[in-house]
Amino acid sequence: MTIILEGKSLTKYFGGLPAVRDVDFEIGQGEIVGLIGPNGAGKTTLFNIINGVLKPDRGRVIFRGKDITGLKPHTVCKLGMARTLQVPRPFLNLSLLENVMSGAIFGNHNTIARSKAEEIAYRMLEVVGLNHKHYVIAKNLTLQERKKLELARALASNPEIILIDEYMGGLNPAEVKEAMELLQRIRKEYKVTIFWVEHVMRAVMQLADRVIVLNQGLKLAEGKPSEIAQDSRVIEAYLGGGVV
Amino acid sequence: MDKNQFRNDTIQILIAVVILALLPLLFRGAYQLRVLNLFLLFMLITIGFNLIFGHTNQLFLCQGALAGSSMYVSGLLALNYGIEPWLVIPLGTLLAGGLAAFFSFIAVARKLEAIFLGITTLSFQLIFQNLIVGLRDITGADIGFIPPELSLGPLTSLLGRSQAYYYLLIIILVVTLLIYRSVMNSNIGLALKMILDDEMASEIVGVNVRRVKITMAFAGAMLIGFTGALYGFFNAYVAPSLYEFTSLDIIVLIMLIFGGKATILGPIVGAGVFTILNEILRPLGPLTVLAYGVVLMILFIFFREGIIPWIKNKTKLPLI
Repeated sequence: MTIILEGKSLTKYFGGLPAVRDVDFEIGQGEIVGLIGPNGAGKTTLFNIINGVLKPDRGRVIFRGKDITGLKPHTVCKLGMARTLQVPRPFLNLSLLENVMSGAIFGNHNTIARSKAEEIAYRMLEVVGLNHKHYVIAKNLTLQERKKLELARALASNPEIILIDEYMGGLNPAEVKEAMELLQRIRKEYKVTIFWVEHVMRAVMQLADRVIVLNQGLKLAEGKPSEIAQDSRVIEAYLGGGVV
Repeated sequence: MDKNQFRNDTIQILIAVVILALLPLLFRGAYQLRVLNLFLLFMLITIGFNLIFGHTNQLFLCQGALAGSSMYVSGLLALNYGIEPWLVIPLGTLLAGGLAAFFSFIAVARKLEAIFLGITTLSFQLIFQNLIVGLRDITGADIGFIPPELSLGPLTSLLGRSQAYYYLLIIILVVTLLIYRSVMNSNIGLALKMILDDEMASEIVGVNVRRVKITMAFAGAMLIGFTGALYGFFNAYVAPSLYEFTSLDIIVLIMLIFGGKATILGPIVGAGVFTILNEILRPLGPLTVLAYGVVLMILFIFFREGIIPWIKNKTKLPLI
């Protein structure tokens, strides 16, 4: 398996406190890797370091063999790494179509004609299930629809890998199932590798090939979902420490 | 973007320009023509300011200094070295653009928020005003200087000086609006809408936000600098009072906020209303500054969206 994304001893301090400390990881092409951990474990910070929103205090990020540490997010995006955010941030005053077109036009490595971008936008809105809403202004969407829109926008940039920061929070079981099918479809049809922060354990355990666990900024464990589920350190981190 | 949008834009720009072009036929007096020229000059400066503040939220409070440095450089070069003014105006224009690009660069590199950029540029405005007074031997301080006449070719003999200036400014306005319109309908226009909406999301989606902001500051300030120079040559007498904060910046700020940020028609309407108001308030003398302060406060507190977006909301007309 080819390694597409690699983090080497990534470290980031906020005011003297380590948010992420010496985290190493490797993501293989075509994998779905879950990133889990209690609140404040450093998951979003790690994503921010990977796509250039934050500069690490130490460590390197290697993407498709290239050192991308310290590059700006817009450059990282053009290199083929898309991202969705924990609290979705679509362009609220733009139509859905424009939102997704923005991803196609600016996020792609190659320059794309507007007509082509529009075509991509229509397709991606359909993939995430937001068709028939092309001209709706994004501020009228519900939270879940905003998440879908952000995913469509990310996909429109034709990424190699997509960092998804929580997608399934607040969904009912049927919707979780649908969302899981969507992620699987994205990987299969668009050959996108997925690095995925999620709190809905059931979904992670079923869908991920591998799971990385962060706790208090450190990598606590890594392995197949079945192994992780039985790891005593992971259970302790989730259920509370202080066990004598 | 699409054909309808294109036609809609064209019609509205055409209506605006035709109305403006007819005004000198209605108002023929020397004083009226002077006011009409001021109207267009301030409109162009407001459009320039709109590119910077309206479209990329960079609060520049040194429009007067940008316009003034362009005029002082080109006017003094023309006066002291006998250079044709048209050859030195581009220098002044570039200087204004360069200064603004520099401030914008500092702002994005140091992550200055709008208010801090405002303070930085306001300081520059004050420095500029002091420099002009301080460099008495070069600038003539408060007494100012009389720049050489700007030749407007056959326009002058055909229409007279004031009208010649007016129609020159109309031509500049048309060119500006056409470029503006086509930029807004291009990918850059989409990027501008995105940045206004959410800078961080734009960056993540692949927009080089820094570059867009610096470029807009450069372009907007070039327009301010160019117009600022024409203002000085038109006025035929250049003194610091033309480019002071209280006589230029604050009025341009009011014109933009009242008209509507990030709109094409906003600066036109805003400049129209407040050029007239400016003339009505003129007898008040220094009290006008007080009046403007109050107006600006009221606008910022109750009417931030501006008249064009307000009408657009109420009537659902596709105003640009």
